[in-house]
Amino acid sequence: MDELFGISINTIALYLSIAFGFVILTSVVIFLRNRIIAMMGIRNIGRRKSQTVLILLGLMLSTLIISAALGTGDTVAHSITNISYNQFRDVDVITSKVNKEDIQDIEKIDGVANIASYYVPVVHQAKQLSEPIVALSITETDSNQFPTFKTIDQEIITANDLQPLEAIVTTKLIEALDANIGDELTFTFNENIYNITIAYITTESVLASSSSEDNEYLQGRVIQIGGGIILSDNSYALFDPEDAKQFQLGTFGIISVDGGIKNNLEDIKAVGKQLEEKDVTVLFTKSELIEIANTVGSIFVTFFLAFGLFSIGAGLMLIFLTFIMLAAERNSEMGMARAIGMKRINLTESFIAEGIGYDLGSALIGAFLGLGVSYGLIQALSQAFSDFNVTLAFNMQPQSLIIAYASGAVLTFITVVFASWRAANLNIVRAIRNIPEPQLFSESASSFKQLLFATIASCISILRFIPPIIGYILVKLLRIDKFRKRHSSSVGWAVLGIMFGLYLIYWGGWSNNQLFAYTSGASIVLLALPIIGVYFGQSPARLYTISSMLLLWFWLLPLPFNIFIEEANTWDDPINAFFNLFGLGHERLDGSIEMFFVSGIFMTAASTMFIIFNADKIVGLIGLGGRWFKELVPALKIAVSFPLASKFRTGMTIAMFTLVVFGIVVTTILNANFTRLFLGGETSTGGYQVLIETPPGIKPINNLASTLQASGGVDLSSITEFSQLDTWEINVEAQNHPDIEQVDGMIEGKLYISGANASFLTSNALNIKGMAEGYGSAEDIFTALALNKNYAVIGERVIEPRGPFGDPSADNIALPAYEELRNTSGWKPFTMIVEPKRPEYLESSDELKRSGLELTWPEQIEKTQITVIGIIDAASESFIADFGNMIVSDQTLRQIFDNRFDDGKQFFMKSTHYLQLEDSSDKSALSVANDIESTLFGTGIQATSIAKVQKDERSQSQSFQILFEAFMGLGLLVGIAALGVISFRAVVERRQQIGMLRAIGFTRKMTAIAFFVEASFIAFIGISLGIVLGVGLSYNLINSPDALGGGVNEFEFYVPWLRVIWFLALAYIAVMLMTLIPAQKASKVAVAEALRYE
Amino acid sequence: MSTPIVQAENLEMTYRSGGVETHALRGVDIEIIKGEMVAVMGPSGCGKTTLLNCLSGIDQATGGKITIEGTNLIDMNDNQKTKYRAENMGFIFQTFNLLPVLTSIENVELPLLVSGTGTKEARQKAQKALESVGLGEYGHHKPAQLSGGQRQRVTVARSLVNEPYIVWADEPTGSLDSETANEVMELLTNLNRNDGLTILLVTHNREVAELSNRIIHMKDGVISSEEKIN
Repeated sequence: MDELFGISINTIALYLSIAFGFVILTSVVIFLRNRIIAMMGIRNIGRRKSQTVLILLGLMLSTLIISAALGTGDTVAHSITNISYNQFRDVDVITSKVNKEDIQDIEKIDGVANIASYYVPVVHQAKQLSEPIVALSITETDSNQFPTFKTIDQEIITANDLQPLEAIVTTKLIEALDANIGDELTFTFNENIYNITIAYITTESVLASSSSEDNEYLQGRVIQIGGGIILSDNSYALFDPEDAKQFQLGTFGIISVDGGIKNNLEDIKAVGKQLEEKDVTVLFTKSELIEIANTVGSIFVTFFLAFGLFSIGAGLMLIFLTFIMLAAERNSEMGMARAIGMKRINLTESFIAEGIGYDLGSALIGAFLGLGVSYGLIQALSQAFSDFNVTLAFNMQPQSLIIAYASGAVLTFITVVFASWRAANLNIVRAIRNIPEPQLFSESASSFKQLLFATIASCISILRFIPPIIGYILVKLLRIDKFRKRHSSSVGWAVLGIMFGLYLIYWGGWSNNQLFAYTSGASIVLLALPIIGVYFGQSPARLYTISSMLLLWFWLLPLPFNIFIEEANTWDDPINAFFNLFGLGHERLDGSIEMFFVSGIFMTAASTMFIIFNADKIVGLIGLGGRWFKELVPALKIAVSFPLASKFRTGMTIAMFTLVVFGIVVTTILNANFTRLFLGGETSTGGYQVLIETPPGIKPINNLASTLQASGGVDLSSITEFSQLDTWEINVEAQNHPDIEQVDGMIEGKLYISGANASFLTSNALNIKGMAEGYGSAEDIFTALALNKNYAVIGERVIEPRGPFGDPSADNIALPAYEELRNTSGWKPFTMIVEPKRPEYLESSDELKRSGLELTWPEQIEKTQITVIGIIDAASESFIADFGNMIVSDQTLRQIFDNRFDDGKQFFMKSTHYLQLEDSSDKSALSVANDIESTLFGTGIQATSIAKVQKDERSQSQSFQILFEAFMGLGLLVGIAALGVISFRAVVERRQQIGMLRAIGFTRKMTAIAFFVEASFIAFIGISLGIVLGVGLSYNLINSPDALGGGVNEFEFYVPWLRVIWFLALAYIAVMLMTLIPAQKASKVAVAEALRYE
Repeated sequence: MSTPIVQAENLEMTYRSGGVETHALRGVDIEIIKGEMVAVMGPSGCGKTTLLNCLSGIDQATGGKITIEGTNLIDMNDNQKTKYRAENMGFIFQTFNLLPVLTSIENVELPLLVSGTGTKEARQKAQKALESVGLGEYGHHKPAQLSGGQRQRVTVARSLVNEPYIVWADEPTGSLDSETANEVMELLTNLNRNDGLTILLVTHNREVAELSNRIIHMKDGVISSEEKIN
């Protein structure tokens, strides 16, 4: 993998190494400045061994997640790159048929050949085994012995080594036909039979592949050109020229660039350019594939890191919490140290020294454990990828390991420095006497003047750090530091927070249309406002309850209302609604995947705040259960009271759980809903049960019903509808609609247009979302398509101006009126100009002639004006997406192509049959599909049950889902570690209270239960909040017009409760196991000793 | 002659730590009569608190016999002793040992809830106990919202709420100023004299000790002398 977030991996590694160097330098400076202070910190690491283990576990998780993400990305990139090298071997450029003389002056080229491919059915008579469609290729070999094939015995051969009708056969075909070297295979061209002898067996490559879909495409480009059987061009003369013409798929040029298999990718690019200058169409280059490999790797890292952000966030919270708790543990000794003359900076340095100790150790463990995790992920991904014939071999670049380690160490260091600064900020007397610090949100009435001064003091604080040295000198020179110290207060920061929040609202809403800034700004204002209220003497509990409820309301809008009021779906932005009253509303805001994380952070903060400031009500509820629990009541009461009294640490732990659970729940629900939507239900099957495909190059069956009747073997009475779609690729240009205009450079694109037969138009169950005026149902629309030439429906995904992550998609026909078109009905029909597209591999008219087509592709083909009257919804579009994004009647399609290519249309189009059955069960569909395939054996068609295809896809989707859930589940370890740290700490902190409780009658069991329930209660609250918020946000997302629900009519929101609960129950059990040890420790506290313990 | 409520014979307590044996009690014999208020005095490390801990079952004596109201404490297992303490004993500690996260009334009702009393009944009894120490209106205050004297009175209320045979008080005035200490001691002596509450208190303070009926002096793990207070 070369790049991440568009930045070179080497650059990232370099900058992170520099930052890491700064961490090391800091520790050296601290050590040199005052060795005792550094040692004071470092020696603390070994003080409580079990606690140290938990701290290391907690601290390493962020590094582990980064390392696992990078390892996975590297492996995917490396595997695809390796596959690319192995597949391409000495082929560097694939072109349309090439004339050697035309390119002989290109210096770097050291091999040129043409390869022609055909589709044939092949039989191994000796074993009575056959394959219905096999690509057979005839290749030239040039004077430089190019191209080469590698046999399974590692021998390098060329087609020149073959006698006429001797073949090189791929391992997969050998396996399928149970054949071996020397065996004879039979294939037919029309009714002519040819026998060939297997001379060599080769591994799969770009020149030799037994895939039935031989001409594989990547991003619309040809990358696979050779077949399962390779013959030398000395065999060509033996074929009947007429057969050869009819069954030929195409001829490609293959070029080798000087430098071997792993040659310079820049040279390949340069040769590609030179070829284009000589009017040779370059179809694909090895360098492009390597670049794609890197991009795919980078996408994987981005995806895993995006999902890992919740866990990384939770991990950083744990680091902060751990240091705050360590400080609390050493409160009195720190007070003593300060009393005997140690400065605040010394305490901070001591903590930093300790923190660096943990940091360097945990980052190292995390980085290497991350390797292990990514290895596990790769194993799981290999399962998921198995259908794509991709073998993943674990690989991690040293740069990635450096990035993982350094980023983990640097992130931890920053958190440690902040936590150390906060921990060292103590009152000496309070610390020595171990009196708690006054509450952060204590009530105090003050004046506006003080408020202003505090704000100025906060501004000065910022000035000191931006830019670091100049600001500091400026503050000293102006002698305003004393003013800062005198008036410094959290209320000043709150005022600045409000100002910053308001700016973000303006910037995000009215200046840059960024949803994350707009919503973050509003949230910051809501969080900061109560601090001002408390400053003026209002009740913190009341204000923070209101603030948290408003914040939750803001983020969950329109949910609280649209449960009761359908129209409330539009009530999602109260700020804009207010400004709209004055005609000052903002434009539509752009939000992407980052909103997932931003919403998680703010909703978690709000819900945690709500719980913490309403704790007393929860404690009160416990008493109500007294009638049933009796003796457990005191244990439960204490279990709940203690955590709720330690607002900060409990809040942090709850937030960790909530954040991670929220992420898991949203991912799980969205995935489940997408799977249901796209891989289940009538909408996604079009109302059909059996799918019959004819691969390109195979002459389609035009009347399936009569063909089957003639063949016999299939009970036709079980089939109620024979529907057919013929699909062609076209260029399309939208026009004649006031809202259709260029968006980010796109006014035209390409899509696949499908011509539907009469049966399809009357029997399909596709869902139409938006309808033009005069149409009230999908039935009306399809009837209109049947009756009117040039009428069409188009898929909603292909007209969306934004891609899945908000960016314009290059393949889409972007329509700015997208929202209106897909969500409303009654709009005026709009027109599009369509133009048939010439297949890339049939670039020259010579080629067309050789392929047997009577007509050549004209230089100027006539364009047709199509009127769009309906928008097909995303789920239905996915059903036809492999075949088409636009549906017209078959008469219209013929008209577009001017009826000229009926004879040779197998070279340009895909023909698909859909059957509706009397008995729509899966079993019946499978049986009919099998009957059809065996009846029409030899024609090349493939029949499948649509339900089975969807089941297989669901299973694949589930593999990915489990993978992501497991990855996100790593974050739960952070919460579990946090609870472990808290529980261990609580036993030490409350030793005397445990003694008292035991003295007044708490049995050992009750004491253990109290501790056990305490951890359980925190986990329960965190998990519950995560579930509630996750379900809420998912509901909004699914029902949002921006996502699915806006147009997916009658789509029901679905929560996979069993899956969610099963997953979280596992986490809950882990929490229980983690707290068993401290609970047991608490129960074994010696009462008399504990009471004496000070 | 009244029957002793607490009887201990040849009580021994030896701590072993790192191979070193410390004899905290070396054969102590003691009797406490029902309704009596006994003070234990002596220098630091003489075994006063250890004696209280062993007699109350908080600590397990390594030798000897303890009977409370006819029940042999030594032979009880940990759970039996815990239950016995919850139902029949009250405790007052120098540092109050109230749970900071609970309100006064919740602290007071804790021993009742532990011994299985219903929540409603426990709340009523706790309220009554708080009223008996003059803190009827402070039930919903948390310890942090009370003064030192008030906190110790809540502790006293907690020790009384289960109507115990005996209240064990370890330095009950140790953390209080003299005025507050007097108030607390006045409360305890009133409970002893008016309600017949049996109290054993450990103290360094001669003035506090003189408020009891009898002072036991300890030295090096044995009772060195006893004096009756008139």
